[in-house]
Amino acid sequence: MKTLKTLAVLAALIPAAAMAETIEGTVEFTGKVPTAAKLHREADPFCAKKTMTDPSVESKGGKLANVWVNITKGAKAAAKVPDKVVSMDQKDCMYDPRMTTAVVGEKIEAKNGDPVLHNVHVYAGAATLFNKGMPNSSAAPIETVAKEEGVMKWKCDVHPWMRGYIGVSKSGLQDVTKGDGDFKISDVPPGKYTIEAWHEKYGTKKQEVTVEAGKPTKVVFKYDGTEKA
Amino acid sequence: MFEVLAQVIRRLAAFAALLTLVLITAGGLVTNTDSGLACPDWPTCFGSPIPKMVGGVAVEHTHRLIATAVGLIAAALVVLTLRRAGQGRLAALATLASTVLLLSAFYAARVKFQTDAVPPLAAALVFIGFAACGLIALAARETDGKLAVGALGLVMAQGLLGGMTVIYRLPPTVLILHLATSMLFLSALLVLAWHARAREPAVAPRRLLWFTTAVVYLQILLGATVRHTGAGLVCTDLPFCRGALWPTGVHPAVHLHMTHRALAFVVLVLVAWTSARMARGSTGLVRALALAAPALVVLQIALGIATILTFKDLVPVTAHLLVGALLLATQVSLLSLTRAQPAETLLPALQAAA
Repeated sequence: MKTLKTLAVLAALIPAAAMAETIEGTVEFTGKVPTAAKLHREADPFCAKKTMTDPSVESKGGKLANVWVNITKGAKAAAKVPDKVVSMDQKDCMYDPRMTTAVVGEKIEAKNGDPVLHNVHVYAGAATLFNKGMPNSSAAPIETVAKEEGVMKWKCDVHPWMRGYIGVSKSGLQDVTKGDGDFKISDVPPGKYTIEAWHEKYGTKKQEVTVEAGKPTKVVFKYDGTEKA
Repeated sequence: MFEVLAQVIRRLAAFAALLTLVLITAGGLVTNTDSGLACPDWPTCFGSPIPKMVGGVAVEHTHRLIATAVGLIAAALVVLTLRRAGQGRLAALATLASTVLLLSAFYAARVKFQTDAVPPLAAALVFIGFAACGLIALAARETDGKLAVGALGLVMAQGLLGGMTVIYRLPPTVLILHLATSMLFLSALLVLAWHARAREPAVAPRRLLWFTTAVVYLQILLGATVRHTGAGLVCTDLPFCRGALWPTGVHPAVHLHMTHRALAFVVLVLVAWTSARMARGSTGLVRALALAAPALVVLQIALGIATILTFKDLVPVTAHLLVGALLLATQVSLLSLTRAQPAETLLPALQAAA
């Protein structure tokens, strides 16, 4: 009897799994890539040891990295919140990663890998979600939960150049472009959706897409560098 | 009729000063919520005069709307003061000059936003508009008119600097000038508000009061420089900085921060000394303001400490700006209320002081 039930559940799940498609695509950058300015990190002796440039625009070969691509309309909320913990570290006086994603309800953990004080000041829009100090690398991690859809902006007021971003969605149907500008959103049921790309400097672009069973869906976003977030 | 108009001008200037304090606080909220670039364009926001008021857009655009209201009141003050002096044509000229100036600035900002180039004719018209305001201020017969035209020039400069913070993506120099101008505008409104008021008998150490007011203004500029160059938390220990009373061999930002801290105590001593001398020989509003000033400095120092301890949390850092503006307003009010007056009105105060 138990075996029969298991088979029945599997039979119900197999078509759904088979129907889940993938949206793949690229974020292109057609404009002139701005020269990354040197970050003025001299005020803190530890941070000053390493020279770094502004990482807000990372583009090579006409592709744009660190773009959060997510389905904003048409998708259902994720059936299960992922067990993994999203990590936002502070290393060499920079947030690492620059841009990542979380699902509403997912745990987020902030760590300080540096021997100096960072304050973790997190915003949702103009509202501060929390603002806590982490004196050095022995500070206990700060744990929080992604509560609302949208962009969480992470700042350190002690080192004003430090920025990090977490794109939060309900559905979990999202990805962040890597250095090649590509993204891939898996397990998308057939249907009509609004898909958005968001970049910290160049803002949001939207497209309507239709995902059909058995057909790959390709999406291309284009930024020309004149957009402002 | 003239007396009624004088009272209207005084009350309108006082209301504008109060609204300017709200405007300055709203400006602080823009910076402290990181909303300075929530609207990518200026003076519209995403191309609209009334955008969807959410998040940072609501914070930034509310600041702009309050500024518009303050600007309109400043223009009304120009018309009222010049008409009161029988200079209706000059009032019309001031209105024309300010309209041309603002429209040229809006056009220049639009072109800059779209093409990244500033149209030279529009830029020239802006400069001509400011020059015209200067000439109109010189041509005004009465002090009220000069003050009102000066205030209008300042608030327009203030608006343009606000626009430049958006167009040029928050350059620190423009941000500092934006605050510096706002404090001068507040001062001009207060002088205008107190100008028609009957002087209160008071013995005022005028030179000391001028000096103290100048140091308070300097401290506010220093605070703005600390804020907008990211030096606010370069020292996070108190009362020391990086374990020393004044660390050596460090980045200039640390010295800037420490100078702001040190000057706070100079301000405390100067304000307390000035107030003590003024409170002895005065009554009424002058005495109340003289007594309030040192309390404001103590509160301001406490807010500065709280700003560091809370890692620039929204409430202390915004309150730090507001109390700084209130302290300057107090000093400017004292200067206005105790300006030169006939000797016979001083006699009772001198006798009381003796």
